[in-house]
Amino acid sequence: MFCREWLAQLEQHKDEINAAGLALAAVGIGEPKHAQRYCGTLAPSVTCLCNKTLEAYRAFGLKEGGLLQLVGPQVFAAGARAAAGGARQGETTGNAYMLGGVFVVDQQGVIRFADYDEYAGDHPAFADILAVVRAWRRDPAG
Amino acid sequence: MTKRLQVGSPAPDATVLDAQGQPYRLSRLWQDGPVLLSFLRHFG
Repeated sequence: MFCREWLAQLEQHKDEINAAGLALAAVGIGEPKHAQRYCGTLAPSVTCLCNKTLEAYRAFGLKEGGLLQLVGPQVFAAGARAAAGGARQGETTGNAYMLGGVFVVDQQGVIRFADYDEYAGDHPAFADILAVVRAWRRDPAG
Repeated sequence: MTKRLQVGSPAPDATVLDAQGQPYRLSRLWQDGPVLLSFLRHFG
């Protein structure tokens, strides 16, 4: 549900994100057919990739959540938000315990923004991402 | 122990699969310009 919500938001904000000079990509846990289905239906503007072995997740410092991070009160609140926005729970693929993250990587391969989910459904605000990108564009050495 | 990456650190160039099942190095995503890269909890 939260992944659907996030992908839909990426698609919704794609013009704003592209205008900031960023391409869009997402890695999910599952088979290529799952990535294909998601890109096709939810976010055709996003390059969808998959990583069932979790190698890329581990390399980026992502971790599996504990009980509170997966079913705690914040998760229920996030679920209500996602449902109100039209997201629904689908078939879960891969590892439902893994928490997500969002990164901006520049052309030199340097991380310019990093946000790690503190619980399931914890997404960064687009305004925060774009503010960081704009500040970095103004002062690339900063 | 998996460590969180900090702003300013190099992004790992791990290999994943594309939607056609072909190996795909993450560095391809940013070779032509910056990218907003999301890691989803799962496809579901």
